[in-house]
Amino acid sequence: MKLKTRWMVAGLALVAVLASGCIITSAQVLAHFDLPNPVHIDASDDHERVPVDLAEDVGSDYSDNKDKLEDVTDLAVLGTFTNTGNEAGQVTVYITPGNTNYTTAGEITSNGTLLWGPTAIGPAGSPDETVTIDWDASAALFNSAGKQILIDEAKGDGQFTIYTVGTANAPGYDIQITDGKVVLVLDAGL
Amino acid sequence: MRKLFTLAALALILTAASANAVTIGVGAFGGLSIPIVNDLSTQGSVFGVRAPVGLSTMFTAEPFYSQAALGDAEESFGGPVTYTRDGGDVTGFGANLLLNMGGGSTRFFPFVGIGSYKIERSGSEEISEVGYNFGLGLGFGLPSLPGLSFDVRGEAVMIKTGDTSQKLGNVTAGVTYKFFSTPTP
Repeated sequence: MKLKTRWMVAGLALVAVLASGCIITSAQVLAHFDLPNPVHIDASDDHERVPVDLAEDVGSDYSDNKDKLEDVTDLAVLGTFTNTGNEAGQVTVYITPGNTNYTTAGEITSNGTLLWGPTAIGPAGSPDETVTIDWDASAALFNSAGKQILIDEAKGDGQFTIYTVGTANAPGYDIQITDGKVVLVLDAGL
Repeated sequence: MRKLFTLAALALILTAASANAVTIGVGAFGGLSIPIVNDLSTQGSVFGVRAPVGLSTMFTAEPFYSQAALGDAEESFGGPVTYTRDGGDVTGFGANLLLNMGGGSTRFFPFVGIGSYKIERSGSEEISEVGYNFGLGLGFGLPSLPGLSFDVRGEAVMIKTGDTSQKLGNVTAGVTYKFFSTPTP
């Protein structure tokens, strides 16, 4: 077969691959937003409300990719969790669409959707009184229903509310999250 | 479009194979695997095995198995702690179709392929999807070592994930030993 024909076959093959369309022109973009520093939850104040506007809190990594956003492929809550109380506690994160303002843990767990957690923090004096969350371990703690709400909101106006919630029926815990962040990987077309 | 191409390619291969000797070889390769526009992984390594079946002077069909270990991503996000995310492992098996060009001891070969890929990353659900690859290779043999050939390749791999894909660029070097050949008709 002549060289010209071979190039035509090679070109046909390339066209077939390119015909698969937008799967070629996509990217996984790392983005994050900060939690209040610190987040403080204890028995008397067992939650913290964090209104999120991705356009403002994440910035251009979100705004530049919003119209092409297909999925959020990876999620994690990162930070250093310290318990100064004498009782072990745990932290969970809930999400609601839009801007909500629930004022009790009961309202949050009834009306919100679990997004992440729980993660347990030991009492003061124990080896795990301070835990810096591992990125891999954190990614495994995401709840698919909460993640779907986050994806839907990210594809919409980018505004939602997350709540960090402490431990029910544990009067002795006192947890602070310092340098807390929510990290997400946006799967977007280019 | 893909079905049309597959049928056309199959017809060409069968036509060519009926008039030529068929050769079978086995080979191994290794090199670098570089994630493309993917912030969650960094450069890693890839290795694998291939079994090229020469159907004619023009076409070689090449089943393969590959395994890539991508490098971890490290980020501090502007804070005091540096976090590490598992870059992930990518395994795949499938088949390439090579279009051989050139003669003598040196050949140039564009190729395309399709495979089944699995992406595993600690803390994430496993992804098992079809993937496509294409690339260019340069192969050469040594007159003193008949049956043995070497190649270097540049290859793009796209693993479909819904409407998007995760992509890798592989640069590999390989060695192949041709151990079987039918008589030329």
